[in-house]
Amino acid sequence: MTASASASATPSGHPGVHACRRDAALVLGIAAPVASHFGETGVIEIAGEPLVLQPLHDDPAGPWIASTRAARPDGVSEETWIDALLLANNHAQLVAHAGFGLAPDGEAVLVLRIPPAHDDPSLLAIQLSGLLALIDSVRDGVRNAAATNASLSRTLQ
Amino acid sequence: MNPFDARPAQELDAPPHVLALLHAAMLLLGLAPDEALAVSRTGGLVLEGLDLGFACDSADADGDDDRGAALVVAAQLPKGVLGTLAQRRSALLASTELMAFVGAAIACDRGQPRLISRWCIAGQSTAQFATWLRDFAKLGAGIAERQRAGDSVLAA
Repeated sequence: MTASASASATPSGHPGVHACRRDAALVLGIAAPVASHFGETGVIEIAGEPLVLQPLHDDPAGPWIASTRAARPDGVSEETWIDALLLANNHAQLVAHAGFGLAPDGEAVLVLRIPPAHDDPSLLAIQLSGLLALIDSVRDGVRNAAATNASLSRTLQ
Repeated sequence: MNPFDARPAQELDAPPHVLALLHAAMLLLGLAPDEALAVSRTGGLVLEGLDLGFACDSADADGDDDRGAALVVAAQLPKGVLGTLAQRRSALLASTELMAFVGAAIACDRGQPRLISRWCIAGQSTAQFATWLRDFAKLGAGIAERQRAGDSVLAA
């Protein structure tokens, strides 16, 4: 492992942190330059979805905290969106230390706390991919339910 | 006495070391020995005036045995906590902060609000778990109290 001068200049300056994040992105199939940027900043966009990954103690062994966001789908009311996120919170913690919240702009925020001993990039990548899959499933579920309801309403008119 | 009551059913589905941790933590929290045993059997507890329920995630979704088990704990909150859309919005805004700082989130299922969190057992002591559990229950009681006082779920 090589440490660069710039690596120690950032708040999460541990070179192991940078390498671990970069390698996790490579496991996820991210192109090398983008993975390298993710390694340094902890911020990336994967298929249009923002993903943030930061170590809680500047230690690649973890714990880490990861988050992503999703906008409320078109045709879904704020109440339906909020109730779906509150319902999802009953199940999220049973599969991972994850929970949904709301950003002031109304977007869903999914926060994942990754326990220590996740310094293996492939383990970290599994956690990140699980985070994205979880927010996708909730957003798609809400969107599909809204589309079905709209279609039913048209049929019944 | 009904002979079927002699050995009550084990309702909480968890490996022996998780049940032992829960039992030991209950003793640290000051429960009597028979009450502590009951908690590790039923997975239910009243702490800080709230009903708490435990579930164990010992499943090994990643295929890595060394991650160990986790205890998921849910505290039932008064139904009025999430009665209005404004309260539910406020609870989710708060959940973003709660997840970031203490790893807890507010949930609601069929009108029943809960505060939910997760304790990863590996590398932590019984005393740490007991302290964390007491703090978690106090957080839930604080949220319930704010609701009774007419405030939002958490201060903005």
